[in-house]
Amino acid sequence: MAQAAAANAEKLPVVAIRDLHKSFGALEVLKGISFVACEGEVVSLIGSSGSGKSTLLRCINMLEVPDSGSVSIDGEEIKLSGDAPHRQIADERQIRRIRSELGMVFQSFNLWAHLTILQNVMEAPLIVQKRDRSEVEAEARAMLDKVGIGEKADAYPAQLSGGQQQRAAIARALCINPRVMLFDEPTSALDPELEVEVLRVIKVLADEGRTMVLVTHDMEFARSVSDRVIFLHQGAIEEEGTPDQVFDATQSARLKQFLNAAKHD
Amino acid sequence: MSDNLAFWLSYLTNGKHLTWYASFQFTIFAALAGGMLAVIFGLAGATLKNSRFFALRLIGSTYSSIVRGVPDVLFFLFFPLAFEQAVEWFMASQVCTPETLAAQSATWPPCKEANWFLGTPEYLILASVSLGLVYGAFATNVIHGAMRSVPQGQLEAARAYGMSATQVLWRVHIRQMWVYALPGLSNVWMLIVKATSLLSLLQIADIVLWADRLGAPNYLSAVGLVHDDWRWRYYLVLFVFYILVTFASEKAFGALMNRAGRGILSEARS
Repeated sequence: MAQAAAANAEKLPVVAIRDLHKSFGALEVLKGISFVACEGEVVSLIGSSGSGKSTLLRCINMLEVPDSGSVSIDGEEIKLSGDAPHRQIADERQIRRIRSELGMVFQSFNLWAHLTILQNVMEAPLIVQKRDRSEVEAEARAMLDKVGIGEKADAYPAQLSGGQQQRAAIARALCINPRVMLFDEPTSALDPELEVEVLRVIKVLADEGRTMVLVTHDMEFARSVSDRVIFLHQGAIEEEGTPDQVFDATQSARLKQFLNAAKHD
Repeated sequence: MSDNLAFWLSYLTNGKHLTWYASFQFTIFAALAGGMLAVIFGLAGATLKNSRFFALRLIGSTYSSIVRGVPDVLFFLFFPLAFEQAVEWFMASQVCTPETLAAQSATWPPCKEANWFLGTPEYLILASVSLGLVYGAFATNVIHGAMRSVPQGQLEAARAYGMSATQVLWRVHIRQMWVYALPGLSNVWMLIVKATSLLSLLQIADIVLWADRLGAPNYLSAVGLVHDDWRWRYYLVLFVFYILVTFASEKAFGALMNRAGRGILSEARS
């Protein structure tokens, strides 16, 4: 892991976040956060509920617009205009192009209920990326096979188990050939026995060298899959480092407390 | 017996009866056109109510709250007349000359050239628009509520994958809205069907007017009394017609619901 991190230091930052602030009303959720995720790197965001980790992830593709600070993807800064609390996306074309390269996986799957699994996976490549249908279909089927639900291609989301739905959602994210995969607590809505099948898929993707930013509650998983772990506490980065540093040589008292509590879950 | 049959056959196929049968097309046309316009006005109204701009939201909610409260009979009388006179007033400002104004003895229209003669087709279109406007206000509310029932997460996912606002609206939001809107829209449709019995208010010789005429005591000086007051029999035919329409509508909405609910309502049938 340490070598991997060292190798990553020379690589380009795919996601670069600088001094992000975000408030919901009087509640300050992010208090100036900066980090980068380099090519091929898996960065996990951990922390207790309300620490701002999901909001931070949602700022990467501007589902939440930060009050100040900047987000760059592949060195291109996402253009924002205005001042908080009315700060907004300045360039619709730019954000749509950037979003079409960010594969987001949601806690509650958010598959489109009126489309079959195959149609779900093909939707964005066809409609947003405007790629050729036969090529997209072949790729979509390959992705569904990869996540192990190839035989469910013509089923509707509601006919699948939670684990299968989340794997379909991962296939949907893969099919846009994303620069970065963004996972927002992908297993939190799943029963433990269904969690395993989703984690296995994410692990495969991490081992393939995909760039990923992962919000998770699962410390074991964060440890096994990450190149770097960031611990957020009340909207600020409290500690970050390789999994070995963060989990075995913990510095912060708050992180120690958090990890202890997590063990007893 | 065969004489009897021959009598009934010729009675039921006489000119007046054939005109009556033909007049069913007016009712069916007004219902279908009115229903279609109501959905279009409903979609427009709901989009206005969801708008980012306050002025547009105000128009949308004013439409749905005010027009819903206006009695349909009153609107039926008001709108076509107001529309006709507005057109005539506009025409008058274009075509009337001092001579023709002076020549006109009636109070309206200002001059003969500005007169707009409305036949059955024109009245039928005005009736359909009236139905669409009145019941579009109900449809606005139904569709507005249905739009809010679509799971937000799916709209967010569509945005997260780079869809434009228009793509999100048409490919996900409106597409999924129908499941929640159809029960309410089927109510609106039944109200429209019922309101088609008001067509005779607009000088349209519709099924109700003809049932009234045909059922009235029929006295011919050559034959004497053909029949006395048979109106209830004719009204009964209308009852049966409307019940059949209701039955067919239920079937049609069931089929639409199956189509729109595919995937969304299919958990039970997996």
